[in-house]
Amino acid sequence: MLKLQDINYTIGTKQILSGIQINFEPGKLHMILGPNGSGKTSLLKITSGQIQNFNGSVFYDNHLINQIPAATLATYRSYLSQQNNIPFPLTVTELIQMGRYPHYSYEPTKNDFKVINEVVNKLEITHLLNRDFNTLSGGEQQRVQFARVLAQVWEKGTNNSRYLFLDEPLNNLDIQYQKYLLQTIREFIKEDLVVIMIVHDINWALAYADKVYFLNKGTLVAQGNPADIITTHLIADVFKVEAQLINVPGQKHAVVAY
Amino acid sequence: MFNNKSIYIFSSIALCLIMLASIQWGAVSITNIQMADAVKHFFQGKTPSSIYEGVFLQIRLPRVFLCLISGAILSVSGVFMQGLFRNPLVEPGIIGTSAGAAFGASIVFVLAVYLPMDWKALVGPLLVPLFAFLGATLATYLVYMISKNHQKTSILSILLVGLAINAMGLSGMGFMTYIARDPQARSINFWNLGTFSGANWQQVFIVLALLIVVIFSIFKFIKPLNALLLGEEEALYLGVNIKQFRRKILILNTLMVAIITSFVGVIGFVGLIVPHIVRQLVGSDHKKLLPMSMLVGASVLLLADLAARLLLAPSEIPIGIITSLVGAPIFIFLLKKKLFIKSDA
Repeated sequence: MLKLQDINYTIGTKQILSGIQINFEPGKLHMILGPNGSGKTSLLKITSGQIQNFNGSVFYDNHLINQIPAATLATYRSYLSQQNNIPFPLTVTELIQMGRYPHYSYEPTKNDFKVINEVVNKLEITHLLNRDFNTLSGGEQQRVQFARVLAQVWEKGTNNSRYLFLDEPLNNLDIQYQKYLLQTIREFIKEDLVVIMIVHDINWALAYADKVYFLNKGTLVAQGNPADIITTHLIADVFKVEAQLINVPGQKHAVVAY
Repeated sequence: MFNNKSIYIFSSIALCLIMLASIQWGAVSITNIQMADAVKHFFQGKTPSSIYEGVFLQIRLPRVFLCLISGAILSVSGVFMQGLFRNPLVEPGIIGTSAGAAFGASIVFVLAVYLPMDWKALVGPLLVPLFAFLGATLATYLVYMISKNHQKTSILSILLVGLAINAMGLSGMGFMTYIARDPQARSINFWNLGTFSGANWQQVFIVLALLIVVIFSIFKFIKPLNALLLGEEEALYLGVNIKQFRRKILILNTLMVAIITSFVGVIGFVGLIVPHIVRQLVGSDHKKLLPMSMLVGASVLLLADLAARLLLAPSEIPIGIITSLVGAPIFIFLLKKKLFIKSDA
């Protein structure tokens, strides 16, 4: 269980987030939506332990986040960011192996190699392993980085829960890979795993999310089951766009048309 | 390409051969037999029987060891700093360390003449290293304190403040050169180009101790440095305590650059270029990059010193001239090659 209590965050005099209260339940896929500058990434960085100078409390299984050592937290929490700039040549194998760093001290164990193997096979990126990361396309880089963060929390650890944070993981991906990645995440979700991701496309939220959270100007304006809370009214309110929700025959969820 | 093992073996053999050449060649040539005799007499506790044995034991050997270890340490330092700043253009002394050392040394060159004679006899040879070391550590400390921010110290601000302090150190040295008399100004100039001609065994033992500390630290730095390749935030998510790591590596690096510079002066380009050469060979994984940089760095600096001794023998060219003269074209070559590959993709 991951609990946010009364999160307030300011940079200088600018209020980025105010009064955020969320309980992220394990075994569920949580999606955060909102317009640019609404505080989505800040919220994700506070929740994952990157931003530390905020007001309020973040609890991981009843432990305050700032009382968990960085090295310990890294064994059960991973984060996919949007930054893919690596200033030196680095092979894909070397990069994915870093996902196991929190789990071994000097040499990777047999188990670490096993995990890497499973992840690489699962994401179908075996053909990229010997490539230099910098020569990959944006979409390939994104999939390789995803493999790294997945390898980090691939197995049930000593801790009660595992946490996977994804900041716009669908960026740069073709629709086939967007769908593939979301399906992979859905399959990966177990009762001890909390997945929190930022997405832009409301349709993916309708199709795949268990819980959605809408941020606008730093406040949480709606949270709940996507089918219940995503309405044309909410979309107009948050995104200033007139939209329609259409029920497609044979599909369990509605789709949004702008 | 070659596999890693063959690169290691090849580099190790190359280093041994270069060492042997460095010991034997010079203004005075030393043969294998003379070397063997010198070692034999040393262990028998006898005084050297010929001038060649004396040159070998008291001049050539310490020089070769000092040069070898300096090359290894400067190259590792380059890897450290380029990794910490995530910037391939960073040199070991970039954050004020080199310029601070140069300023400290220049003060001694200019003001030592005013010391009482008996003082000079007592502490004279120690003054330049001492002041260079103080200048280097003080300048780096200043950089760190200025760029420190109560919320979050950005690595970029350390780099920028470092550049500023560097400029101040150089201008301070420029001023000392300006007010210096000609022979003193020449001394400052020479010192800034580096030389191993004054090597002695005490220096060797000090840098050897430093090398041992560095080697032990490397094991702990591999994972954080690799993680930093991905970005500072990514490194934190992989469990690296960035603040602590940054402090540790900056302190060690300052010691490394300050000690080496205080003994042999400012030697440019080695710390910048060796990491680049080695990345071409083994990639950026610090587990291979760091040990390989030590090997290659030692070889490169030994070769440069050999050239410095032989080109205008019996007189010597300052080694910094050689390293920059040869290093710059290699650097441009590597850069062009890299740009070419990039635009190709």
